Amino acid sequence: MNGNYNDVVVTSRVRLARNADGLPYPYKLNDDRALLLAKKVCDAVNKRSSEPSDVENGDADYALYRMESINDIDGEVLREKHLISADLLENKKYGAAIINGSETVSVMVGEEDHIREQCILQGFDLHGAYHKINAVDDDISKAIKFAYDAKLGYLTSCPTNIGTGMRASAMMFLPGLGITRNLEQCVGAVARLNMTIRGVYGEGSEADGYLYQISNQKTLGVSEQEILGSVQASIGHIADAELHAREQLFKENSVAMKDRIFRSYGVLCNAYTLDSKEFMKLFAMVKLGVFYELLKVSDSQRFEKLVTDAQPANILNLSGKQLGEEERDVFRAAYVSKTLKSICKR
Amino acid sequence: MKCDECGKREATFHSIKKINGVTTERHLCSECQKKYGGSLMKMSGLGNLFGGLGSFFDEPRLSARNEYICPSCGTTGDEFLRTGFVGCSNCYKEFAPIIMPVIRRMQGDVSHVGKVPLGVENSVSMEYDRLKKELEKAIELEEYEQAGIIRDRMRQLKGESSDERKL
Ligand SMILES: [Zn+2]
Ligand SMILES: [Zn+2]
Repeated sequence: MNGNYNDVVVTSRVRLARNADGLPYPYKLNDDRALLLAKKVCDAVNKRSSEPSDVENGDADYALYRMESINDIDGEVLREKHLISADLLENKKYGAAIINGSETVSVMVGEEDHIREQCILQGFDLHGAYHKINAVDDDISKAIKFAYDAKLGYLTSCPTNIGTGMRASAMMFLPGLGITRNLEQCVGAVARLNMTIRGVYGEGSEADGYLYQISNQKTLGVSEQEILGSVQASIGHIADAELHAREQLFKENSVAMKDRIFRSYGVLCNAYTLDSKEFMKLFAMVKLGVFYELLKVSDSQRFEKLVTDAQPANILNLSGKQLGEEERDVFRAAYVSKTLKSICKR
Repeated sequence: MKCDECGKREATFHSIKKINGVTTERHLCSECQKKYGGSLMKMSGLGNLFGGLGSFFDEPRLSARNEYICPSCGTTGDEFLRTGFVGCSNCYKEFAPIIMPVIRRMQGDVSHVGKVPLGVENSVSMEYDRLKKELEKAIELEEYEQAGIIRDRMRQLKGESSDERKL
């Protein structure tokens, strides 16, 4: 049961906010210059001096999605994958996203700032995410002159992002702290380090799969490396507490925990209908069961991907059909059951 | 139920949209509803976005805020204080007297010490980088007095004021 941080950190993300010099910011920009900007960014990232490994796995090719022409479901699919924001979806007329083949890099154009570059990687790898997005940022800067001030750094639409324009964050799976009700204390300690914690799918409670996002608040007067360092330290602090809580939980409530985990597994493998909230709640317990080595997973990538797959728009997309709500829950139950039975066993 | 966006305040706005069988739930507090609830194009109708963060503002300066209008984008100082958003890069110069105190309170510092775009030179960021390395070396050699001097110099560079170091 010796856990490492990858048992706690689901994904690592680094986001950089940028604006084009000489253009009004998106809220004040209501003409075709906004459309031109998306095209320029897309050309810039596609022309980038790709690393050979990127070419191999399709990462060198970026696709342009315009919010104007994307259908509602495809838009929601991207949002559920955290590749675009709800804000971008709202900017129907001028919003666009440029996303690479492996869906690790996404550049939003026409969100709160002209350009929002982000890289999401699986597991605990903030430095990897920064390395990748920093290279993309350099490539875009060759095509577009960024709004930059010698004193204030990168200028942003809201002063909360000014300076580095950087938000480094991690999505953390915290059932141990959640179940033992130690989360609040932990959140308080981290908040004192100028970090923000919030639920990923709502409040981050049981029904939301105990998923939380932690990120830096401060963006000015700190270097990118210092931000990475401080977020990483906070993640470490929470992850240690989480691993400790999981250990205690199992030690003190072994029978009850095993029962909850196997019941959850049983329902996910046999339910006839399943809504996304119930899925999140049960899947969190199954995931915990994998951590305790009560369940064995043969394909962890597919296993982790289930969380996104089971979201409303993604599951519809996977069905390839126009389903009503009831039919969709039936399809979700069948999909989850089939996947779990093939890759996760007792 | 807490707000989807800030996760702090209670949600008072609840929207459940159903598009082609996909249900999207949005639960927002009144602050975030003003910020995220409407469409982008309706931004002019924003309420006081920073209402919950009122302490960011330096009250005595507020009286003069209507005198500020950015000639490049038409945003007013009042609009900035209400929404939290500037309209263009020039707003930062135009609203400096009202925006700098906000930045200092929000960020604790007022000077950028991070990345510099390709082809641009920034002596502050370079100096900060150099000092950071020196600091690491001083700590490694256990020269704590020297480390303290370097730290003070770094603080000066980013414009940190000792009384507002904590957010
Ligand atoms: Zn809120
Ligand atoms: Zn302006």
